[in-house]
Amino acid sequence: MTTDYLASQRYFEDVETGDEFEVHQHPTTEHVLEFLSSTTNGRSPTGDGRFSSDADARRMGLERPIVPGTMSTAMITRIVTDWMGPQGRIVSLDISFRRPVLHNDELRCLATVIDAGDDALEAGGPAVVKLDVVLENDRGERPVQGTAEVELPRRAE
Amino acid sequence: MPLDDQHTYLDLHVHSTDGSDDAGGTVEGYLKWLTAKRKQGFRIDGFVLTEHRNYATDRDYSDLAARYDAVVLRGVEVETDVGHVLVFGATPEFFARFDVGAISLPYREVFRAAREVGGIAVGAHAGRPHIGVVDHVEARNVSLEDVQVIEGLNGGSSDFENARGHDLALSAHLREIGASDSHFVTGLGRCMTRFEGAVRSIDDLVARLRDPHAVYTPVRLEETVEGAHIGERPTVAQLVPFSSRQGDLGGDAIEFDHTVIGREVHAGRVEITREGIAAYCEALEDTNPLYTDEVAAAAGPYKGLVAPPGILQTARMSPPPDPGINFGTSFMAGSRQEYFLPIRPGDAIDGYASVKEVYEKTGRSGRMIFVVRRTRYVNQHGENVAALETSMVHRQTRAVEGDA
Repeated sequence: MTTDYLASQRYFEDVETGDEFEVHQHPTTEHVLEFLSSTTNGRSPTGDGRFSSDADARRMGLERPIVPGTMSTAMITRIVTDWMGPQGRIVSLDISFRRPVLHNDELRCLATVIDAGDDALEAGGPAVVKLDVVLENDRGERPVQGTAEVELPRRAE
Repeated sequence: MPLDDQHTYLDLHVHSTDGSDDAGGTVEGYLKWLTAKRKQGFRIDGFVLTEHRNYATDRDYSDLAARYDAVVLRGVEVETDVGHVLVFGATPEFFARFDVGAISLPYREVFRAAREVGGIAVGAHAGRPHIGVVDHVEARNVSLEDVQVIEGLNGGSSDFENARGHDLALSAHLREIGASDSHFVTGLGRCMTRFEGAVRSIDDLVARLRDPHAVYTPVRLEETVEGAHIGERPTVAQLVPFSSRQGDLGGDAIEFDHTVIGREVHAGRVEITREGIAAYCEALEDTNPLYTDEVAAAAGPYKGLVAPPGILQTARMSPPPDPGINFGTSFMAGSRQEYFLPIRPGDAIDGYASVKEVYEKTGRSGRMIFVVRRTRYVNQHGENVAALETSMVHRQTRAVEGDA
């Protein structure tokens, strides 16, 4: 990724409303445990086993163990950072969790430009574009949705 | 495609940042998106803003609507004892009868009052657990005597939930509308209602929905392109069910310690290390060289390694003062993150945490209490590097059937 990523900068002038970028994610139990291990010394952040145990999850009314919200957010953050390139900057990210993300869900992570920022730039603002960001599962549900504001470099700079 | 008088495609259930705390789409953002979708050949003529438990009387979107050649109307989504209900054509008299901010309004009175004031109430996302009417018909055999229309096709519901709503409409001889239930701009128009003829005002809309002979049908966005066929909607029997169905409605007003709101405490300090960054990236299979490749990062915009923006949300710090919510189990409901400066290995980041607010509403799982915590992060130079707000929802849970 090193060469590709550093060479593939996205510029404000090249972005249009409606542009889409997507990647697929398949968070397995192993991925979740690795994430928990890296961030919480292996402990469940809530003290229960909903993120790792079938039995604990079912006791709480969940079909399967769930992916921690912080990990879903991290997946969303990653699609934005991959999209914007090294000189882009996330200004803000606003995420809403509408349903659980379950272990082994097949996820389509989609970022869509909803405002290319031309009006704001004309009004003297920074070169900031707005994205809708979504995790969509294979049941057609969108368990995680949000918006991101990203400042992009300009070609003239 | 501009407005015409033959058909009108309206998204009848949309939330915006103007009135719904869980929405991310602005009204103008929706209109820009509508314009973009029209250019792609889809047909969206307009939408109805149905904010949650909120109807601000001073909003006027007519100029915006005219600028984008679109219809922008306003309704409200209220919460009743049979789930959520969309009300179109509500008048001051209607709002005087109910506290629309309440979470368990008496549904029969809501449906009747809407009709009495010249409007109409519509059962929202009918097939969803608890907040749709199907559950209440199945569990308690609630009467549908005052119900004429339900939202049988909802863009935020699963196929199974929409099939449940469709089944109820067929068996109880109810009319159906379609709507996206968008909270974010790209959801606009996922599902809509196609009306015969022109619908340009809330009075037009109410007249159509109240008229048992009016011609309208739920449609999906892909069915709006020229030449597309509006397909048959599946019934439950044609689908494999998937639903976690949890929780119970009702209960007394939540009690908590109000004195903690806004009180900020030092929540701890986290040292940002290369090892910590590498472990985070490995778990996410993130190979971005700015985070882990020292040589490449030195040639990048920050002249050295930086941490992924999301790393701060995983920092273990003490919680803010406890409001003492003794209700159900907590889950993450939302997260707002603002980033001001890059975070680098070697940084020592102090967190300052507070409880921003506590509120309640109803959802698929029944009653829900939200606690919003805010943490601001300051580096060793005294600079604000980020601020994170996390909304935790406390809700009741019930074991999946057949399990201990």
